[in-house]
Amino acid sequence: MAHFAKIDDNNVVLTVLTLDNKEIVDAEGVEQETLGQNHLQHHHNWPAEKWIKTSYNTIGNTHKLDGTPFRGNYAGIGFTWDADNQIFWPPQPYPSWTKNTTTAMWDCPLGAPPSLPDEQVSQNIAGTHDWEYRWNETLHQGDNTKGWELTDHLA
Amino acid sequence: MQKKVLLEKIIYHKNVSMPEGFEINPIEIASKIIETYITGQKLNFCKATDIVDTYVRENLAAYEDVHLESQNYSGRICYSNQVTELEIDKNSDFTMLYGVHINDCIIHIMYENDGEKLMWDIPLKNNKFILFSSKMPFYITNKQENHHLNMILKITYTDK
Repeated sequence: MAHFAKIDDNNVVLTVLTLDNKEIVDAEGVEQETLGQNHLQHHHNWPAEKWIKTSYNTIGNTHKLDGTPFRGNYAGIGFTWDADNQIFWPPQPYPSWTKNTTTAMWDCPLGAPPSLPDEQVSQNIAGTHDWEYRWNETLHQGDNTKGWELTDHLA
Repeated sequence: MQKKVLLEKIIYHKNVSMPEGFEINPIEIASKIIETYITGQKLNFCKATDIVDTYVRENLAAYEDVHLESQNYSGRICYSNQVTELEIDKNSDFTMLYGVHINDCIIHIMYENDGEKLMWDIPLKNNKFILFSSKMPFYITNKQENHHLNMILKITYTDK
């Protein structure tokens, strides 16, 4: 199956449709995106150039089946198409996070969350707590050296 | 899309912006609405009503993370200086009104705050939709001076 994202004038993904592979293969057996786009324009009343092929197996610019990643991420509803970088971006999680065109993901300004302290790990294993680092954008806006906050979901 | 929050009850309203060359044909919808008044039958599916329905559902999902399933299509024809009866759609979650052919039309949506009855008035225009909770009663006033009709497409939705 081939997958195509329908985008609007803001390049926001409105929906993703599947097409039989035969609809996008030319007489020589070569896949042509334009064939799928034209088919979708005809059947779904939406301009061909606003249907963008997307790879079901690509996430974070990695192909799940060890193939070649295609356009950063499988397009989801509400994602944004970036034609310059050829990437479908998920919605920005927080205003301070920035695009990473290599991983096709949003980078936290302070990097990955720190490892949980041993005490919290033990409490999680015992099931008495559910500790996790969560991003606090308000905290970060007040002091840009802070942001990750240890949170107990059972509290 | 614009959003008005009425005490946790949200009203969405937006002009339908279709790509050039793919615009909605209001005459197609208007003729289907007139047909319902002549035959007494339900509004028949047509390409233009499907485009409106798809546009509303897709935009709500993409921009508001609200996922809708369409339920019933119907049409309204309103005369000049007419005030419609109060409507409420108890069997659906959302009611959508789309301006098919509008001269001067106001949608009055009623809601409550601590027992106090309040109302929000929003003008309906051509090619604009208003979507709100079906639990909120509404009525329509039509103030146009001329004898033109206001035609409105109504679609009800359930929340998926």
